[in-house]
Amino acid sequence: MKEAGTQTEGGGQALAPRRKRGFASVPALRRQQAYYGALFVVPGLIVYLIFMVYPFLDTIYLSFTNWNGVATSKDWVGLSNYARMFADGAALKAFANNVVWVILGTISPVVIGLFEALLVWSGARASLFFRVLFFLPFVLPLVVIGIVWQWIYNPLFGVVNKVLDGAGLEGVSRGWLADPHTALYAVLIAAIWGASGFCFLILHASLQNVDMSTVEASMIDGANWFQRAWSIVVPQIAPQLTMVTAVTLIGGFSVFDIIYVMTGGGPGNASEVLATYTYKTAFEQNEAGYGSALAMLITVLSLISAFVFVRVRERQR
Amino acid sequence: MAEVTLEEVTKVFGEDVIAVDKMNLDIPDGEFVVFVGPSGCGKSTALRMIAGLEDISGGKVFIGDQVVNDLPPRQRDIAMVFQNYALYPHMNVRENMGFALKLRKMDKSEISRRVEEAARILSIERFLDRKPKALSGGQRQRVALGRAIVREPKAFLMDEPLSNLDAKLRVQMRTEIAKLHNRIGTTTIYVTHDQTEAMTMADRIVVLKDGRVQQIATPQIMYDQPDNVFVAGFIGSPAMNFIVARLERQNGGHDVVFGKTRLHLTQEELGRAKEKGYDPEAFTGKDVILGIRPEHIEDAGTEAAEAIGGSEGANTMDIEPQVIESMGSEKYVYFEVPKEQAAHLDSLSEMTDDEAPEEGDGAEGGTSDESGDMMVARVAAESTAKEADKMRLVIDSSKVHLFDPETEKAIF
Repeated sequence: MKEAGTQTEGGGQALAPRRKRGFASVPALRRQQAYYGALFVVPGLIVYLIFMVYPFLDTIYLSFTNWNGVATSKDWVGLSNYARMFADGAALKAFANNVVWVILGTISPVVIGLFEALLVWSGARASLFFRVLFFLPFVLPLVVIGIVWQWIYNPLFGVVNKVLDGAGLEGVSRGWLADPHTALYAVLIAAIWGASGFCFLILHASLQNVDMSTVEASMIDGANWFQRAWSIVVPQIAPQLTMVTAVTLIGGFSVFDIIYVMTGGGPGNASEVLATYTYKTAFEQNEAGYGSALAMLITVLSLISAFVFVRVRERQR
Repeated sequence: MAEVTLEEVTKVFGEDVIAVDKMNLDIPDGEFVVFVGPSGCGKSTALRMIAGLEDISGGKVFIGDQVVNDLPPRQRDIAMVFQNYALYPHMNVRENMGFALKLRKMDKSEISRRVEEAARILSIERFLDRKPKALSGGQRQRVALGRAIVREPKAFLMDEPLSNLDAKLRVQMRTEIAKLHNRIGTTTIYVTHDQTEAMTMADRIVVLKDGRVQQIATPQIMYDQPDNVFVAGFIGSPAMNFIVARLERQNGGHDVVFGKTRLHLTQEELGRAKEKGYDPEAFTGKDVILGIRPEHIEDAGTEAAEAIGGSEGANTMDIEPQVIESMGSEKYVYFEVPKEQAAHLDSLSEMTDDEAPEEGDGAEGGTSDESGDMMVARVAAESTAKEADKMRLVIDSSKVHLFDPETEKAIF
């Protein structure tokens, strides 16, 4: 035993200098790697600091001021901009519309995209045609989608009214984007169609990784199409489903472009959401301080959504 | 439980790729049938047609008295075990096993009773609350079996269920599946490319090649009386040796001659040829394919050789071993076949290494390859054979097989 111990010690001693030599160069290598790493990161970081971090911090600061967006001076007003939000009927209306938007605008495209993806994946005929059809909204910019749907909703030439008139439902026909009761939902439908392309794309890709033998096993176990989809396939794409839902949800709080193009938030404030109201407040009514506070509200709501999303992802893991 | 019958069942992929060609099979209630054959022979496709996972291009599949061609899998009342287990990854073992029963809206207490009973039989009670990813391969396969047996189906279909397991576990699970079948007695159709699994588990084996049934028989008959060169080469490990020989008349009987070796055919062998409709006279003076199983060739210097004629008979051959593998209980002696006796058989050349019998790489014994034609003898452990040292082998002439070189069908 003693001999063995001695041998080990000896071996250890013999190894020690070699080990020292072997590792001696590592910190230098790491330093070099870190240096080059930083070199590659710095340009992006500078852009990020200038165009993201600085404006974000500045917006926080501005939200505590009464700056009008033009004047060189601004006064510190504390929390009064935030207090004002709760008494501002237009802001509350925009927030309420945003809640409707987030709920319907998140659930619907995910459900539609999932259904489309399942349909194509499960071998529907003419799947290439459907793939292109379902993918189309993803490649179109939201502004284009907005313009296309404006035409669809056009009171005189629009397809919707023509179809309704053709079906003898003249009473239902209306100026969909001009009617305060329908404007928000009409824009929402266009946005849902637009978002469904993204959901379809991600979910269709994720379905390619589903273990087909589990699907076949469930067929033999007695599951019908819906049971297979719900009990076997969807759980296997749950991480992607969560991701798609989260992205759509977060996007829902900051929606701006399609509403701005289609209705501008009107008629009145019927389709106003927080982002369009913020824009109007800050840049049309020259209340940059209050607009900044509204922007912070959107940020907080988006952060809460992101936080919930991260927690759900962690639980799934 | 039920009979499963296949009548002229055919599967065509695309325009003209025939995966299964007019397959006929009658599986009585409770039988354990194994489909065996090389990759692409149609065995899995045949099974999937029975399961309802593939459309049937022609013919009829009966489960019990019912034609099931147009029934979806869930209405066929069969259970299937997949090669990769196909366990639902998001469900625990209990949920996996009870899923089919839950779909049938079975009472929860009954589901629980059946799941626990199956878990007890398969010794997986401890894992009931685990997810599949927390189980080993063997445990997952038990769960897959459990999921099948809780259903109490008319038939079990198993598609290479042991292929993903290591060799030791495979042997263990093989026994367990056989035990399970003995206990439950449900009609079972089992697909494998491993002839050892087929031989050890089956009541009857169905050998397939290129979508066609080559032979349907019990393992013993399949081994003793293969119908053709392909079956003879596929069943048995190491595989049968094939060489070109000549059939000659000798002293009122028939001898098979190759090189200096002369094997006298027994009356029983000639009788079997006649039963198959072959007249040995028709082949007299002509070349035939001689099939000799490695276990029917012995080292002339061993005691075992005495029983089959000893070292001085005409049924001996002198060879120079190239490789000797000692298995402990026996030795495999590999030696080269003279070129003029090499049998180049198309039907065997398609067999790949992993499809050929697993024990010993002597699987290619008797078949031809680029490097030359090798034969293998399975001799007693007492053999003193050495590589490159000349030695004498004795062939048990009562156990040889003859094949028609034209059709590759067995003469006997």
